[in-house]
Amino acid sequence: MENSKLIKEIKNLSNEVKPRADWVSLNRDLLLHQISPAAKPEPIGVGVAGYFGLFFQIFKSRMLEPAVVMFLVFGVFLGSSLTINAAFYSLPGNPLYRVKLALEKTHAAMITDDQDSVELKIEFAQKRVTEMDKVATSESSTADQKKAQIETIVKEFKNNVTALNQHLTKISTQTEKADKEKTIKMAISFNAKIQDLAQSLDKSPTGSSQTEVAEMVKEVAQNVALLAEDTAQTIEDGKVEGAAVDFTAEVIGENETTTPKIIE
Amino acid sequence: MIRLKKKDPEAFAKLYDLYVTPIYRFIYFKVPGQQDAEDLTSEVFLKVWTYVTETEDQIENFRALVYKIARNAVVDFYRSKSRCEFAQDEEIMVMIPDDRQQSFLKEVEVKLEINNLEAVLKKIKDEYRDVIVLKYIDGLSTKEIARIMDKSNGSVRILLHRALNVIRELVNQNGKQ
Repeated sequence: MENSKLIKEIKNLSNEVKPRADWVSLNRDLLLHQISPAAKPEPIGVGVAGYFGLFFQIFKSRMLEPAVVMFLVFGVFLGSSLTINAAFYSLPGNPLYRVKLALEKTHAAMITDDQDSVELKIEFAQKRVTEMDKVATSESSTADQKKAQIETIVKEFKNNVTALNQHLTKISTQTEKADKEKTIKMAISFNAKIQDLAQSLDKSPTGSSQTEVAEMVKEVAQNVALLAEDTAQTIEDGKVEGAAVDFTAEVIGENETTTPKIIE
Repeated sequence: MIRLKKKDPEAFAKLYDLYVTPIYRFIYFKVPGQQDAEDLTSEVFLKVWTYVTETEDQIENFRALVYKIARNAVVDFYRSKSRCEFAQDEEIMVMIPDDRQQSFLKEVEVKLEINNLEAVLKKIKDEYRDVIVLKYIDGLSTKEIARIMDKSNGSVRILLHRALNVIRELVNQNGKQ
């Protein structure tokens, strides 16, 4: 047999060998059913790992949704704001009081300007006095509780005033001559605030009884006065235009403080 | 192809209609019976669907891919199926060199009852049958056959030449009886 004839016969086989038409149709339907996503899956037993995997998958997909991310960011922001707000009004004995003190320290650490820093420390001391008032007037606490709370506040107050004194000493020793005018103005500003502090302490129902506290305030006031006096002495006449400093002793409550005043 | 990759059942149905007959025929000459050919053909299309929808590789020649999957399916079929007499015969034939295979076929042709071309095709060496079916029955180019069989174009031409010689010899011998 020649090759051409053999090839022709082989080609003829393609007409003879064919799949059954009914099988082709049936198999087509069967395959389409198998690959169709709409095909109902047979129930499969799901173990703990399966449920865990499903939960993880849902959590992952949900976490990636922008709306959920925004909601979480908003939730964290709101939660933080509420916590800080609640901490702001907290008193000793409340767990948030520690948060409040920590926030104050953080705030103080972030301030670089000497004047702002000293003013902030005075403000903190003022807050302690306010806290003392609140504790003293509180009706929900027993006498022992009040005593413990006030002890805590006094301790913090001492810390505030000590830090304040140290800062004032630092300013008076490190200030350059060129900054003396600025220091004078700072001292006047500090003095006004210290006066406020001393007055609020005097008005406080607990303040007058806390002799130690009053003494500390007095010490701060003296430091401020010394700072101003020391600075003023180094300024020659005419270098600070139209400004001279007069120190007048004023009595604040039971304590004496020296108050520098600018005389025009 | 793009629709198939996106798991479109309609695209799959069209490809099935296009390839079911040639793939069935390709398998039919390699397996013992019609039932095996039908089962394997169905399996091939499922494997094609799985591969195309899951792979990230670029498919250069879809037809070559389908035939290659069909070829591998037949290999798996013989690996997994308990060895039947037919497979044993074929394995022995694959191991025997061509010149000796022809004489061996002379000895066994009476037992195998080779009385037509279809039977001859079923009994010859796998590679010979593949090139003959792909070239003359399914009408593939030498290049496509080379791709399916992982061979060079030259090797495919040589295989075709040898396969035709073996078939002619067997048919002639069968005709003489």
